[in-house]
Amino acid sequence: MYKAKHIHICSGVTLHYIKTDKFKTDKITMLFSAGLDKVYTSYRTLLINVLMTGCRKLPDIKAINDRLYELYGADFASLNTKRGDIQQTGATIKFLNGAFTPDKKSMLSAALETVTDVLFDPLVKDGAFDEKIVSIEKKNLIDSIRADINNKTVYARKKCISLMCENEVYGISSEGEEAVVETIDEKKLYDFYKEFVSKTSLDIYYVGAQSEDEVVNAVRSTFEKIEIAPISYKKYPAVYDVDDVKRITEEMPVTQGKLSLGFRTGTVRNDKDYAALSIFNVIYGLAPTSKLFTVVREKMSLCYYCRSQLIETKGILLVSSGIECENKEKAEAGILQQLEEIKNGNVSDDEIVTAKKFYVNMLKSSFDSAGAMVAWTAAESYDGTDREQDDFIRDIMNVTKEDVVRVANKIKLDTVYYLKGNTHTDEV
Amino acid sequence: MKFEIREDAQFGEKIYSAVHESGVHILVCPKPLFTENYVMFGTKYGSSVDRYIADGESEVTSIPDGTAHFLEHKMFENEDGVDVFSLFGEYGASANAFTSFDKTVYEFSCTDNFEKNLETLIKFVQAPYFTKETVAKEQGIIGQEIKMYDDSPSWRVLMNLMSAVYEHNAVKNDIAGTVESIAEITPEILYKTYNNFYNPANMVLCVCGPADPETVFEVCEKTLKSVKPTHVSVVTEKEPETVKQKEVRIAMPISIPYFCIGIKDFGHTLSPADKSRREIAMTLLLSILFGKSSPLYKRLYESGYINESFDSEYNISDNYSIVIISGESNNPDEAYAIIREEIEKIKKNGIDDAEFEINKKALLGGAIDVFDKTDDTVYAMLSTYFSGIDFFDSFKPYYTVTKKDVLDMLDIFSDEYISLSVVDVMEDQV
Repeated sequence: MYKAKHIHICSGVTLHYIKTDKFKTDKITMLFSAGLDKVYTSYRTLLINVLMTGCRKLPDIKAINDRLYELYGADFASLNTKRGDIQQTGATIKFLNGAFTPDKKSMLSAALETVTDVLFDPLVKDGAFDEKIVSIEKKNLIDSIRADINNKTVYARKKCISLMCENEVYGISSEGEEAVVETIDEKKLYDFYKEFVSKTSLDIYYVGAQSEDEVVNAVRSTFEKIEIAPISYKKYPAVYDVDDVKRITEEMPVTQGKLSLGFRTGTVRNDKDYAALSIFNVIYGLAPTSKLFTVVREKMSLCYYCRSQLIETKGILLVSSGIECENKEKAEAGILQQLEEIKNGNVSDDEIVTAKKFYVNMLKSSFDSAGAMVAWTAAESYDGTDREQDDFIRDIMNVTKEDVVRVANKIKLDTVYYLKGNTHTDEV
Repeated sequence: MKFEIREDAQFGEKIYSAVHESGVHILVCPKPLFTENYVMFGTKYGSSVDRYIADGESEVTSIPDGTAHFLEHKMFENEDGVDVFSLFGEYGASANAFTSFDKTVYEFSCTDNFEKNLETLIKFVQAPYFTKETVAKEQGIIGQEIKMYDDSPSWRVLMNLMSAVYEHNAVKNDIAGTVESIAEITPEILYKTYNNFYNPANMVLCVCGPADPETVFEVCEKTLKSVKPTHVSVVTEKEPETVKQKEVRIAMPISIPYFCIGIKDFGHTLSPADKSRREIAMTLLLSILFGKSSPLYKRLYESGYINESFDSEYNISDNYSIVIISGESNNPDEAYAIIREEIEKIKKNGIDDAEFEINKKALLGGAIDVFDKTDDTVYAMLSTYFSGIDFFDSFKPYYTVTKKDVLDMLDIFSDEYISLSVVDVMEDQV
């Protein structure tokens, strides 16, 4: 069990301190939050990629990595994710706790400095970023936007969500859009950067064994010279109404068809019904004991994977499956039939008990992961709440069969996306 | 059951070990501060076995490609018709399994009811049950799994590389087999394979988490069955030293070409201790040559020939060993040419002392990281056990490896041992 302590560092900057002696490494994560936006999302993504390739003190990839290698191979990575209607960009560093290094020295300050050097002290020439770096990262970003198609499972899932949410802010990709990326240059990006880091909200997450005082002091001294004017972002209510079910089929020369179904549940993470929806999801398609796994995969033998997931901030339920092209109708009918079963109350007490155990096990196992601790804390902060997992576990244990049937009956099909195979791949 | 305790003062970790009378080795790494227990029960048998001489026989038995993986799937069904997942589900555990080239592993993790779940794991892995009907049904499911991999460029580029590097070694065959090969699988084949390769003496059970080691041994004592040890010899054909094919290319509907460079090695024929040393020396060489701090990485990245996906690794097991350098590139041929050029440069100029030391330091830090996740710890315990070395001892070469050890690894970086596999972008995709 753990609890994050929220500490105000300076205007716009909050430290979330999580103390644990479990790990041999410490983790520091810094995340900027800003509203999803058709134009600026691309800027932010490109920006974080450019910043990660060098800063004033460590001017190229080699210099940054030499510093990380000196810190016993610290892991340093950029972050760019979508949480509800906001985009979170930043970086995370994981480094050995001093107790486990041969020289027994704490690396906290050096690690913190590496992250802040990269985020707040970039490589600038004549009021612009380096032209060559920006052009390489533009190309890499465009490649990466196009690369979605290389993993057809992920592609089908993303496509389903973007079609389903095409008129919502949530439908904006956190990666950015090719057309926007093309228009950015080193000067525009630097102008954007100056605005971005001076008006933002920055959350810093620390997970590790060092004392609160040590961490707070190190963070305060690092942020002494940094000035930030805090901003707020807008959140939109989750869409629940569905007029007509959207059906989109795309053809590609693939061997296996991919079927994705998007549903609206009308329930988001901080709603009273969320615990019941979570249990519904386990029973429907998350667990290997679920109806989708045991019926559509095992009994009907239609696919290798058929599972459901929730997008908690938007109340979206997504079912994904990989199937033989001729079985599309059968698979879709099977998936919808299992939902009907739950709506009609065909859920046993055993299924409820097993689902609760599965879910509680999943929640508790996240206590052993620094990344999961950060994710929970960030989700709470997005929801404007400060619950502990124990509170949520209690809600889960109180879910009844009636609750599950009730939330199931609120679920509406919104979008059916199908990636259909048309030829076999060519051997050259 | 008698057990031993080994302690490593530097990591502050302990391993409890015991051998059950059946021959199963049991290793426990206690993590009292953690919430979840992670358990793996594995056999040293994977997809790279295609022929063997069974216990008590003299003729060679051939098995269809994909048998190890098929068997792994089928173990989840019980004689009483109860699905194994539901048994774990009853006690809140999350269970899974995987098959690699050289091992098959059954695993679960749980935060509650540890003893019940451990019993379930041991019982189901020791109770094979196959019928014609269940085998036929699985052919449909695995057929879809194979097709899923058929559409994955990262998998195709790797498997094509393996068949370019190897002439005979069964590691070149797809782990899941093909739709045709799995069609040949029968309950009889599965039983025979099971009886020969799931012998307790060929297996290890590893636990990491808050569980009390003595409890683990007690559950094992009362649940593990004793079976007569089998003597199986795996049949392999002598593999030529050089690669079979220099280059292999296909095209797929993707956005950027994928490449994989393979360097054929024979390190797997060494003794366990030498293998472990070689693994670290080679990994260090790869870090110096291809790591993010290397001049080569900077050159390739800044010329736009690689992106963040660029990676290198050394795989060494009992049956094969290979260096793999992989990535995505808009110009894989140019990337390949530059990589070969830099290899020649380092062969000529050697390695700078500072570079050697800093890479060694980084590698050591990365290795200690394995203790922070129970699944990583368990997998490392299991793998080192199968390699025939002690888990804690496996870290020693990180401290003792020399520059000469690393330079010696350069011997295999020579044309006749290298293959290139590329998946190009298919034109007119849609």
